[in-house]
Amino acid sequence: MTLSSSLIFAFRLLFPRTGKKSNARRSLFAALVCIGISLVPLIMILTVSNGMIKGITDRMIGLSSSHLQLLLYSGSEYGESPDSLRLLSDSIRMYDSSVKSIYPELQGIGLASSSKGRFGASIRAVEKDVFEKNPAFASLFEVLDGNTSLDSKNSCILGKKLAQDLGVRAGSSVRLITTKENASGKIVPKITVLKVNGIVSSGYQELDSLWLFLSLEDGFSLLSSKSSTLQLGIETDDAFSINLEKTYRTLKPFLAYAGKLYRWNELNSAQYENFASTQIMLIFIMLLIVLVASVNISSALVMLVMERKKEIAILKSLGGTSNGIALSFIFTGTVTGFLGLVFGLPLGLLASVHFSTIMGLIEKIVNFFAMAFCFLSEGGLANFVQIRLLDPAFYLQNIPLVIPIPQILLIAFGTVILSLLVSVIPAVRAGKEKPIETLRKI
Amino acid sequence: MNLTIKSSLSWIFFVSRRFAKVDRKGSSAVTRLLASLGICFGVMTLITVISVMNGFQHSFIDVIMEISSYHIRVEGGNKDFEDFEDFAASEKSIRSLTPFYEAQSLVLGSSGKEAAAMIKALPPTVYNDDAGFKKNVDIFSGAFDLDSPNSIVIGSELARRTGSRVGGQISLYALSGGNDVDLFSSERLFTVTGIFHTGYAEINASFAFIGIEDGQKYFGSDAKLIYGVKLFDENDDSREISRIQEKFPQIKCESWKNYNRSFFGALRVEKNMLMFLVFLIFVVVAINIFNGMRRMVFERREEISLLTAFGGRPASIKSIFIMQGLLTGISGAIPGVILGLFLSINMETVFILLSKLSYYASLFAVMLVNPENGDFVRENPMFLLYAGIPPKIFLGEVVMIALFGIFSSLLASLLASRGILKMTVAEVLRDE
Amino acid sequence: MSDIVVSVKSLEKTYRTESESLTILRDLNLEIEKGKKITIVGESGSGKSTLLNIIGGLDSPTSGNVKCGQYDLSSLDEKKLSEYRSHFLGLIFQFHYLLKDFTALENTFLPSIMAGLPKKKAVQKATQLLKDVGLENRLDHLPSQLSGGERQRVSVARSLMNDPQLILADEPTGNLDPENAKMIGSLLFSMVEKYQKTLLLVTHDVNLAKKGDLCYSIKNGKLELV
Repeated sequence: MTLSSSLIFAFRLLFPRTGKKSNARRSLFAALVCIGISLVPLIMILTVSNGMIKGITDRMIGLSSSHLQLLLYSGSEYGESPDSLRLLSDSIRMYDSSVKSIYPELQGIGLASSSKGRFGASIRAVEKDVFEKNPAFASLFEVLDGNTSLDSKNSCILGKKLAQDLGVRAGSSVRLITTKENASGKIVPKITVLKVNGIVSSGYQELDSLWLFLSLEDGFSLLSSKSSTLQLGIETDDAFSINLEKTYRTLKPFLAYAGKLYRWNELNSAQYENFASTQIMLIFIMLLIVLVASVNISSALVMLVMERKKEIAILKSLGGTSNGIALSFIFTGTVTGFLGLVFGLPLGLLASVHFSTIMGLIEKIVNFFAMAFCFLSEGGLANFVQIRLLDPAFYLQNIPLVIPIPQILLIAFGTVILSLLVSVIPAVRAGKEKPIETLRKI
Repeated sequence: MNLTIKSSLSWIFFVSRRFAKVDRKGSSAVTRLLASLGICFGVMTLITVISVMNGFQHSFIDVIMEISSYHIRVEGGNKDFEDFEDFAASEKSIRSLTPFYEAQSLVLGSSGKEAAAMIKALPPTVYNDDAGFKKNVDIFSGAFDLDSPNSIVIGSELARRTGSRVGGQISLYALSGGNDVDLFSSERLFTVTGIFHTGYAEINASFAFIGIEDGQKYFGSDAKLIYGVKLFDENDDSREISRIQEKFPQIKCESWKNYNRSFFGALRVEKNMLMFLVFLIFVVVAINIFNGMRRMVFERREEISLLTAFGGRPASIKSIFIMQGLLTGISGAIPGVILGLFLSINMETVFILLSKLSYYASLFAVMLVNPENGDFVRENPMFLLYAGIPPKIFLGEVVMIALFGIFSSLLASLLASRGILKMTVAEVLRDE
Repeated sequence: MSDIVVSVKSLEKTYRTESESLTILRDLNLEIEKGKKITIVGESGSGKSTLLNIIGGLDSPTSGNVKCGQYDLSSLDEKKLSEYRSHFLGLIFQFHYLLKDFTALENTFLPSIMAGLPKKKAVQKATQLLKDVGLENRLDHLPSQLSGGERQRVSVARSLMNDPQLILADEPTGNLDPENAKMIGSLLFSMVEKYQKTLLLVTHDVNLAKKGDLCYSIKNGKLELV
């Protein structure tokens, strides 16, 4: 039996001439639809999780750790003043041309206090122009109120959550309580009144909920050297390229006497690993759904074989081979899977692109039912709390759209192969059908 | 002859059983097997996924409930609590009662390194009296010893940040409180007697325990006394709160559900969303069952007409097929439950497998694209961490999942048998 | 005056397609008294099966009135229709008669348990009836294990299970060889006589038709005595 005749038979199986009601064809169609709908959540989860991970990682790198981070040794000579830090930065830049920019920072903790209460703050003393000069700061921080200038002395910029807790807006003042050594080395409290110049948000509350930005100069005057950490954020062209490793290897010995050098993925490795593993598990589960959907193809093929017993018998008596017939059915099953892919893939991509709209809609529906349930069970809406599906307190707002082309191609390829695999057993059995039994009954 | 429901059911059952028995061989057996397997797989996966997620979530929920939020936090002035302990002792639903004070502090280690901390002043006997507390607070250095005044037990991450060790000194440098509390004082020195570790990183980074008498001494007269109430059943909270409020109207009660509302709420949303996604498996299988049932109805159309001709009612005949659906559902759900429970209990192996799988998959991908990076591919240690977290199985959830499996099969058969008598009897009989 | 078991008045059955309409039965009248055995003879396509199907409640007329016993067929809802078929009628067909997955005994007692008779009693009665038709050694055989004649005998026994008022037989011997046909014909009439039932039989076998009390044929959609 030639290949082309197998294909012709397969084609007839898929698109028969007679309009007779065929349960098997309906089943094949249903299998196709099932594959399609099972691909939608898979692609959505893949895209959204990729987007979230990218968004969070970009923020963690751009706004917090930078590409490489140099943590100066406590008491290092380079940490004596903002100028000595800048000297060190310049020497690094001259030493290795792959370094694009350097952002020095002094970090410490303090208590921010307003009429609403006292709240812990992560103090970040940075260069005055960092919000403009650092491209990540400029693009990833959203200015909610005021501006991002740290020019005047004793001015600060607050993160959104901290500003909310303190109940302040741009133009208000807050008191910052820090500890500092006095002349005789004793630790004393220092209370400073700061003017809030602006309020910013990175869109990821887990990252910025306690941030309070000061100028580097103010930082040095307000924070104790024992308790705060000095660091240099070193930025290269690409945090993800192999060249970062090279830069790391070049700079590490050079800076060995100044401090310890870290790569960005070393600094928050637990979190990155957490994200990666969560994503893998979610995708694994979605793959299971596609697997189950593909079994529908087997089921439908079995029905198809039942229905076409006569035709198989006739073909065999005309010289058709077992393999040829099996091939036809394998082809039929694979094409069904492929059509399901054609149906589901664009749908999944569409859903991913409109993810936030879809989530918003689902959230409205869920809240509607929750309200109805609350109303019925408690007789009123007093105890009702709005359900947030992706609570901004824990999840990234504004998830960037990252269409992972290689992974999607892999999924497409895998789906077709899977459809092929599940078609094998029913197809081989179809091929093995004994014509004589069937022909006798005609 | 009276047509009762019982007698109807008995003949329906008779016919249905015979149909099922006869279908053992041939292609319809295969489709039925696949349908059953589909339900089994769906039930198994859903049970495993939910139990694992429960395990993850509870690894911090339990910690929070045993150490921070309790089941009910009861707050008031010292005088408001007369008779409260007696009352609590007589309440059958209360497992344990822990009085304490709380304050926010900026602590300073002996090296000068500072960190923000939440100081809880507890009775020194709490470690031995409260089994839940002891289970979740793992002392890895020193001991939970608050017997002598000015002792403190701190979290592992807090110890690291302040550079403190057992035997070292830590000062509660800044302390929140009323007018009789100095905001800043370097006189509030405490000796670290132990360092603890819990499953929740935030508690490790921000909690410290001191003796309750020290709390009374340092936190000032305005400090509110809080009783942490632990119940045998965490869902008894609202009932217990109303009972307490009745007797003690002047004290404030806060349930654990409100205390960490946004966090617990987010956890619950995550769980529900995942459940919903895995539920799609049932949808897919139900579609399969629907088609299989349609086919069965079609194949048996002669018999259906005969039964109708002999006076069988449409509802009864539909029931024959619905019963088949029920049978498929049950024969899938029960092995599904068994497999699901088995898998949940052995998740450690699964995670180790998953770890190896993803390692080899990424190694393969990297080798294809950038072979020189091969060295950098590492096994993600999170999987081994997950392997160590025991899944938590809730019987109610397992039952509900099994019922859903059976229900989806039933629904599919119901929908499939709707068109059963659309073909008129005479048509079929005429079709010679 | 004996009871009228079947009363058909001005029955009309027309099949309509897009382009044409075909009237098979036209202004047909029939009355059957209790205990009588009526036969209708004619070639296939003449409408005799149609008439039987209508009287059996398996098809509905275009116009006219059919009353069987206390059942007015035009006003029966689903439930009453089922009751009519189960209690009032006994049916014997030409081809599709037995459920292939059930034994002779089970096929026979099935209508009874569907009507609510306790299984034990149904089995007893079915065994007796199968004895009457000479199949006491074939009780546990599946239809595939029975010959054509034997299958039809089961059919006859089955039709009597629920104590019906009226037996409708549509070409009961149509599919059998002459010898078996003769045997079944005699058996049917003797059973009907023994159990005092009313019979309406439709056939193209003239010899069989002659056995009835009255014999009709359908001409131009109406009944004519032969």
